[in-house]
Amino acid sequence: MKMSICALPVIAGLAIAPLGLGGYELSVLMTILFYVILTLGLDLVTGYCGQFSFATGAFYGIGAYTAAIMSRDLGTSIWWHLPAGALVAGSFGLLLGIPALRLTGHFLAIVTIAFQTIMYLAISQWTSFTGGQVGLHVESAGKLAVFGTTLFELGSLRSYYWLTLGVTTVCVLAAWRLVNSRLGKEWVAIRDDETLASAIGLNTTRGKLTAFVAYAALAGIAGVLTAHSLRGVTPDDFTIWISATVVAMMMLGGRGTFIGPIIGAVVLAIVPEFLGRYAEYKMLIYGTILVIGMTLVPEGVIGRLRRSASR
Amino acid sequence: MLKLENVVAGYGRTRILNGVSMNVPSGGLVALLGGNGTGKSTTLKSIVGLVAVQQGQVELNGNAINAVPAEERVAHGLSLVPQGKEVFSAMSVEENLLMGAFHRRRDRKMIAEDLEGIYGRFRRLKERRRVDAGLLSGGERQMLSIGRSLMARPSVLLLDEPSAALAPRVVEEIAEAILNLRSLGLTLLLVEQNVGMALDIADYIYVIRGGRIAYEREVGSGIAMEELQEFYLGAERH
Repeated sequence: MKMSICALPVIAGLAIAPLGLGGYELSVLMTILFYVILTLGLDLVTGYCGQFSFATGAFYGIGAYTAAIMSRDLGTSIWWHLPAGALVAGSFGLLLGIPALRLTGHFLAIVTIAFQTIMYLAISQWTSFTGGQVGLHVESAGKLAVFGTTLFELGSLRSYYWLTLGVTTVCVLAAWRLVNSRLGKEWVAIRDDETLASAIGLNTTRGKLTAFVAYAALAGIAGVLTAHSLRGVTPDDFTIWISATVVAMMMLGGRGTFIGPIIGAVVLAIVPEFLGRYAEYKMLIYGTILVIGMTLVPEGVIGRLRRSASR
Repeated sequence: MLKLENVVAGYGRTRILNGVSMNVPSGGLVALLGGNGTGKSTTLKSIVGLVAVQQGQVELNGNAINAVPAEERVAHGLSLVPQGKEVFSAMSVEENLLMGAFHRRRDRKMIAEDLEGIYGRFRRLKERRRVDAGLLSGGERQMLSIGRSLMARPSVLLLDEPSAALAPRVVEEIAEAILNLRSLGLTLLLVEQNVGMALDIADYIYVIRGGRIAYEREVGSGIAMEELQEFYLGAERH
């Protein structure tokens, strides 16, 4: 309830933003929204369930390529691509969740890096299916029509921004419901002490797998939105750098705090816009923030504030 | 009630239990004693399904439960209070207690009643119900750990070294709390290194050494400390 009251003015402000902002600012806002979805997804699996993953870029790419390939081969619109991207990425998330049943910590992190690398190689080398390094063109998002009557044309940047905002809001609400559900409590219990979670009768296998599926599905949705926004996909849009950036966003804000990773995503997505000609050094800056942050404030900014308040 | 027959268990290729047989009668308080690394905790973990039984059988109320997954054994009435006063440190005291009743989701009224029952039993937990469990003292964490297990409404409660690393005064409190649990009609299996505490409250003791039961005797039947020491420590009698 408290969260929805705080969120309403923010969403309202974002909804009316296109009336006063230009194309560049709207593009930046959309990039922030994509990162919010990605970071929230990672927060579910890592922040809440305690399973490390460096494969966000891979699931992001799977969603984007699902949209691109469906658009090319089936001529479908974004309304089909959004559930399909979530489903396909979620299925791969289930696949990656299986090693998580046996591995923890660094070992799991290494497996997710390997998964990220395999996915990158697959989309960059399987030229006949993915277009290889050149990538694929993606058609316009289409329109929202009911019984032949067009309600919403998604061809313009402004209308596509509103769609992105709507989908992001749904994703944030879904993630909020998840972390406050019984499943969310299971995730936290697994993160805190997996053996204890098993001892009190929790199904830790189901808990871990659902966290991976939710994480991957959210990244897949962000991928679909990005593919239609860029009107194309290339392998270099979905590298391990994306995964590292999202990890930095989550860690800066505070993993397992819900609002923290959102703030981390907003801050680190905006930073490059102020760097001007130094923007090419953004990964260096993210890395530095990550090292300093992990050393001085390992629980993230919001995590630290919350801990101070609870004492 | 709870019976182990020649249980062989371990981690991977490392065998810890080499044929443990025990019997915990209904309503009884049985203590399993032994030194470090003798297999006490592994015995409890094999009962609740956290360690796979390779040979032998674990029976609850006459039914073999070897094939029952760990998460379902709680619903069968088995509840473990793990070693180390383990709690979910990021959750509040009350959230921890409610996690104990996780499998009883449709039982809201009873859960609320049980929660009040726990607060009545452990008043300090009520005072600190909103506090993060990670901020509790050792004794409070142990009370919380026991309270959380009781929230599962177990018929058999397994306690793994509840007195470890606690001040003597707190150990007395915990011992009293365990004795009070008998009034709930619970069957208790207590793993301890604190022989004095175990002999004070248990009806029957087993001593485990090298993954086997080396000694067993009813408390009050004249246990000779010298004899117990021999089996406990593996000391030679001169």
